[in-house]
Amino acid sequence: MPHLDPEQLSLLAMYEGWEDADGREHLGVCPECAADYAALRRTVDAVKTTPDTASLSVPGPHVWAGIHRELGLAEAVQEDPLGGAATKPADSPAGPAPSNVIAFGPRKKAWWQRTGTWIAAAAAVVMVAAGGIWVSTRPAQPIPLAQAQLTPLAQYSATGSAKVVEAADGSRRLDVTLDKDEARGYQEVWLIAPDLSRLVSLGIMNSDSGSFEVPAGLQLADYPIVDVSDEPVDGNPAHSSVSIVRGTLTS
Amino acid sequence: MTSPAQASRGWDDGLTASFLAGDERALAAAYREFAPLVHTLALRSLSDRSAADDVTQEVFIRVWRSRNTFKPELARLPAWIVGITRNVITDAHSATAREVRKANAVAGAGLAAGEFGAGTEAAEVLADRLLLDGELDRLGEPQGSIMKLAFYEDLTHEQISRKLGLPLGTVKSHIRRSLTHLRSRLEVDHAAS
Repeated sequence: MPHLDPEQLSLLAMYEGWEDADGREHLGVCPECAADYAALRRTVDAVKTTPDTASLSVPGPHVWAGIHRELGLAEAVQEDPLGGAATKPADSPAGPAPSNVIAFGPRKKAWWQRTGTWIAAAAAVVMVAAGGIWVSTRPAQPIPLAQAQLTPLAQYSATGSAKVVEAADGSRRLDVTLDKDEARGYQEVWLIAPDLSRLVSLGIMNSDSGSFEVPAGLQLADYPIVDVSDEPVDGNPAHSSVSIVRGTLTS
Repeated sequence: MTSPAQASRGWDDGLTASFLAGDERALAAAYREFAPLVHTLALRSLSDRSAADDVTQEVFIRVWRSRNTFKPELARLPAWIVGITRNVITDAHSATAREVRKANAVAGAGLAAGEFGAGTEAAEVLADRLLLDGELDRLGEPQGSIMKLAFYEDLTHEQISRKLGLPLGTVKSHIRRSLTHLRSRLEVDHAAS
């Protein structure tokens, strides 16, 4: 079947209930037409849909304070225009706006200009490596295979450690200990590839420590990053993108 | 702010004039109206609340400092703010290409669109909507009327043809061209950002 003609494609995108079985069938098999259709649908959605703006995240009062200071605005507009909105409870999916109001001196350095958490994590790795890893030679005891210092990300302050131990039967376990549970939702423990392109969930941690089985056959070298994320209770199994602590396993 | 219609039409173009004249209260009003959208778009893209805070600051600082470059005849202020937001987010990405590659890689590992929940989806739709706001009026006639009847009253092209007394083929071709035009408005913005 030839490509759909542009008018047919427009009508399909415009009217969801448009009766055009052949056209819809073609969309299922032709990536080119499907891409055009998707772009047109997005346009139609933008005009027609009413997004739920109540779920947008609200920046904290320090954000306006920084703008106010940087631009040298008048006292009359000193108050956060969003007023009490920023203190409203955590209806934003990624958690509430940070409650810690940062006192702005000179404008806060943009985060991408600051030394990254990654460098801190790397430094922690070096320290762990330099400190040496205790390896047991007693076969009856679990053998630590690797460990990591966990350092906080973004607005979190929890720290902790993680270690992988091998039991006599060859099974491996990841023990995670944090100094506090800072999750707004719940904590989930992950092992992540160095380039962050792949990740494996090890399980839920409802307190400040937990033990997790490492899948048999998983190469720790392929997934050396231990990550504890803050997951909203939303039924979405994917990583929330909000990490509390991270560290890299070294052996 | 319960609907995008309110969000954008709630933006009084009179405020745009005050804004251009340097009235700081108009900047505060723009912040009240659009900071949550800006923040959510940044959070979605950068996956870091503190980074989203920084982007939000930068956007409104740029909005104020470059207000003389805003051309009200080309776009409404909300669309202009959305455009600046996309630019600032891109700058944040390129300034930190290495770290962001990692952040995006996590995003690629199943953390694509919507992982922050409904809020970020809503932000994208709202941003698109603000970009298209006023575009129906700019289509001219009869295109504007045709598209409004199709979008808001769900009239089929036959019904529109009868209602406006236009040949069916004309209506179809206007729908196609108008939709293509609106689509290009969104894509130009995304390419520019």
